[in-house]
Amino acid sequence: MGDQPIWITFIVTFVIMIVLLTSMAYTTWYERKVLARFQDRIGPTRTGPAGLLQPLADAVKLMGKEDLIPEAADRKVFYFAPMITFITAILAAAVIPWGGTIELFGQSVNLYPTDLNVGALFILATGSIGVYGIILGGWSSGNRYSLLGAIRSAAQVISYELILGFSLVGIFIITGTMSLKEIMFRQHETISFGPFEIANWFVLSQPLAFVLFVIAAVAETNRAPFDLPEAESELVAGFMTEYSAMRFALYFLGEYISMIIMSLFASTLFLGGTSGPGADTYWPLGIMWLVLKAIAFLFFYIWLRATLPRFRFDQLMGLAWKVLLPLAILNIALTAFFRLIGNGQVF
Amino acid sequence: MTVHLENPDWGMVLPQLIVLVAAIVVSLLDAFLPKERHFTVITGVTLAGFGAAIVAQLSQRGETGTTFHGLFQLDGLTVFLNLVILVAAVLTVLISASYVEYLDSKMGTGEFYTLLTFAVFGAMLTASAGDMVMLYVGIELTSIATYILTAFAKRRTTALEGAFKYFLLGLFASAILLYGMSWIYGSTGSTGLNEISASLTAALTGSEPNAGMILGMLLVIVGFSFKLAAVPFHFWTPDAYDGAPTPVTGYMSVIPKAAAAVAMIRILVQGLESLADDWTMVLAVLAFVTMLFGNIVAISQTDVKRMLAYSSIAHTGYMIAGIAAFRLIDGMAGERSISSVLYYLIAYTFMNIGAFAIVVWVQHRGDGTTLGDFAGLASRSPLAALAMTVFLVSLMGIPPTIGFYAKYYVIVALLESNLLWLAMTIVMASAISAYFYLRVVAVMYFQEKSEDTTGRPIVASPLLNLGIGVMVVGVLALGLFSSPIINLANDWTNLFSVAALAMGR
Amino acid sequence: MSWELVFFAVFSAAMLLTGIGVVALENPVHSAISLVGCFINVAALFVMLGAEFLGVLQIIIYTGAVLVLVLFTIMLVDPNKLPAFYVGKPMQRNVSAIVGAILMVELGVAIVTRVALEQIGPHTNAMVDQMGGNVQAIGQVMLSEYALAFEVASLVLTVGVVGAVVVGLPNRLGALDTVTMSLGHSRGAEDAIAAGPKFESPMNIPAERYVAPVGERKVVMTKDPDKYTHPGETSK
Repeated sequence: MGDQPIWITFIVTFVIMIVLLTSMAYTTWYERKVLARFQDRIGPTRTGPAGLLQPLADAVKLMGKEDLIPEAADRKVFYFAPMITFITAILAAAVIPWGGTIELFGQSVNLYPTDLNVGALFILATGSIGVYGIILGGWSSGNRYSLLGAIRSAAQVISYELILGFSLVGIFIITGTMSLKEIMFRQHETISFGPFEIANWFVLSQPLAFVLFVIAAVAETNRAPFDLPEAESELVAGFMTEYSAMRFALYFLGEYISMIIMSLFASTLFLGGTSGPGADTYWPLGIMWLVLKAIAFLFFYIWLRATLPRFRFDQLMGLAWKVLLPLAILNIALTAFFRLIGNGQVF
Repeated sequence: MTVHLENPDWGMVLPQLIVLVAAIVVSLLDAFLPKERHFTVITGVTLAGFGAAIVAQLSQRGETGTTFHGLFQLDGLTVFLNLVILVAAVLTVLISASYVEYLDSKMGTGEFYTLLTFAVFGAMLTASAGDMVMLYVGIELTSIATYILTAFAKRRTTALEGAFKYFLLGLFASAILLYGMSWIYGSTGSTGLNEISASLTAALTGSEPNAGMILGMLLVIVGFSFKLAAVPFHFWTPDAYDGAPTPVTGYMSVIPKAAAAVAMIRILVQGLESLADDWTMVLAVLAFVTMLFGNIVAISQTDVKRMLAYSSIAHTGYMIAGIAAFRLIDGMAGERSISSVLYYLIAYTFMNIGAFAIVVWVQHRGDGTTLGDFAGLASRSPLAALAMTVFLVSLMGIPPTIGFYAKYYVIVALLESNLLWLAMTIVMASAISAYFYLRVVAVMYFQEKSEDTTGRPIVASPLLNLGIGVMVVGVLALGLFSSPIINLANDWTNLFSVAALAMGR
Repeated sequence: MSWELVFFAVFSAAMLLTGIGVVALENPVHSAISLVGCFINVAALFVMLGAEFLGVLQIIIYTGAVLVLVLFTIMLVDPNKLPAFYVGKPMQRNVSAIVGAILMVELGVAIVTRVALEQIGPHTNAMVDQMGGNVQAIGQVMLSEYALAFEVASLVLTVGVVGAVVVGLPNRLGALDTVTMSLGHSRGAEDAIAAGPKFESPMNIPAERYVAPVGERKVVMTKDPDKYTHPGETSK
């Protein structure tokens, strides 16, 4: 189990927080750069080498701006709505495992803040609280566009959370656990595939669930092509129309943290997490593999944004309820069926 | 660890399964069938489903057992009640056919039958529940489907008003019921009815019942009284009955009521038999108030549908009186009490749905539901007037109709339990009821209609006529041959007691 | 142990405060937010009792779905049009206070006597651990002992959905006689257009801007927004 003194947990959490907040800032840089390449530009270059100081400059700019509050706004709710999004997004990192238990300076250290036995559901739960930031922000602005964005967001997140949850059930059936750590270590095992030994990543046994998960994850984080809550061509900026300065930044950063968390979550569930060559021997290699997988996912996110036009709202809901949900249920039924065959309970 | 799942005995749940499959098939057919054959096919499938379920249920006669970890039990009460419910369901389909056919061009037929079938399924599950959880879920399934059926004519505000009142008070009743069940669970440590009974018997040997058990019992009675529409928990009834489409009114005066009655019997008789001294007194008072109130208020009604609503409140009173006869005299339960209630339910099914069927019939000939609309019915359509007379006479309780025998058996059961005053009340209440039932008969035969409505469009379906015919025959024949049925009910309730005995009571 | 006590105190105090907020706050949206806080604290208490699964479900289902829909509804209502909150008959309020107090005392007595008699249910911590965690324990109870009730409960929900469709959908062939706006409409509620055969499209009214009568506005989720947004066109 790896019980450790609570101060080590604090240190691990602290390090993860720092890394997460930094990487969040650099995800914005990454997105600008990649997007620029897609559009045949080169992106930020002026601030620092290759524009590396751009996030810092943005932060300084946003902090210096005036914090406007509209007259029609509900002030209290308007104040704390962005914080909900931001905090819940960070909270989800608590259950992402970065490896097992290691020996460091004579202490055994767990490379995860906590190993909740319902870890996968915990991430869904934080996501479902996070939507309040959007809904309340939209409502409290006292602006119709914001309200419409909030309503869209409520409908969208509820629908896609269902699919997100359902796509995980197959994995729960295979592993018999909801702990992310155990799910990850199940994927460190290898299976023989003909003459080859390959890693038992769940993307191989649950390909349909993986596709569903990725689609739902994009919708859940309100990213293009599912960025209906903030569709700028229709709603100005949706729920964050009235926000400015740091409150706007909190929404913005919350979205990027959610992206990172979803990438880590997807890598842990379907791509073996820290599994990779050498990861079982050297733990830093494992972390590196996890980070690389997450970066690949982030690239995919940006790729989608650069490529696909936005859905219409009814298409979005139709896709969720008429296509993805039946597929998710089919996946569950098939997985359960094969599990029963494996147990010898069918024939 | 591996989870051990008991393989359920599917044969035992066959009738319920048939009804469930019928519900699902109907809802799918509704989506995929071409418009022209819609009505015929869906009505046919629904009727076939109910018919097959009746056959399956008849084949289970005399069997007992439990399955699904005791959630489901099969005994005499199950078989008898399920048959009553299924017969009522078939009659409902027959009387609502013309209404639904008329609606078919405007609204969903499939939804109507789907909801009806689900409601029947819920009622059947309630009748066969061996556990409080199952009772609750079954009752809820029936209730929710009934709320929606009440609101089916949603363009009429009275329908929405009635449905909304029914919905809110129904929810309230469910909450009270659940609260009562949780007290019973808290005092006995189990939700299974037989376990509750065993635990109570053990706890009550040589000691008084504690406050928690009594509180649970009272709350459960209050909850069921809401669902049964017993006074003083009847406030939703007139509006809901009046607002609902008339075929639905006929249905909701029987099937949800039968479900609530059987749930009451299950919990009180099977689970809380040791407290019978307490709850029979409560039920006796409830029955007394309900009978008198229902009948007295019905006198002042000028709308036949509303009058029948109050009359059905009164009939609830007679049924509760039958349950109240289950009083322990020298440690022996009133043997005939439960079988008299079962017989009453059969009688009530035929005569009450019948009376509402005639109201449907009149409405579909372009008239309303007030007394004035029934004026001169005898000269316009003597057969309909005759059928209505038979039903009303039966509701009143005059021999040789089935209504008389039903009341007779309840009175006998009451006399055996030394509840003479309640028996006298039934006689008195019937005398009062004669006034408003006979008034309708008088209006039909001796008054002329003031307004000419011959030009109005007629909605007619042979199924409605068939249903009325079946019910007239039933009201007359089942009354004349009542002893086989009551013996059957007796046997089956005895079987139920035997089954309970075998479970270790 | 002492830490647990501190956390318990914090969570339950927050829960009570937000619970009071639900009934005491005047703005319905604030009440709903308070309820969100209350539920989250309830979830925290569940987790402290070792019932992580229940806690997370409490958040996902109640906070994440049910209350979102409640907020969804409240947000679309103009609070100024609601009947005033505190003008009900005082008797109602007094009675509700008394009933609430009675309920609380009842439940308190029930819990205290149970604890005093040491009559706790079969699912103790040891038992749950033996079953392999509370997810497995709940799953086993629901899908073996109460399997039938569990499945029938899903039928209850199905019937609820069918009912919502029956009551909520406009009549199939009847004319759409409500003013309708589409959530997919790019210009939002301001320019929601009266549509259907009855009305002339406001796009054709050049001089004054058409404003749908306030009392008739309803939000209708529509399958095909084009039906409501194309100028001069009637549906179907």
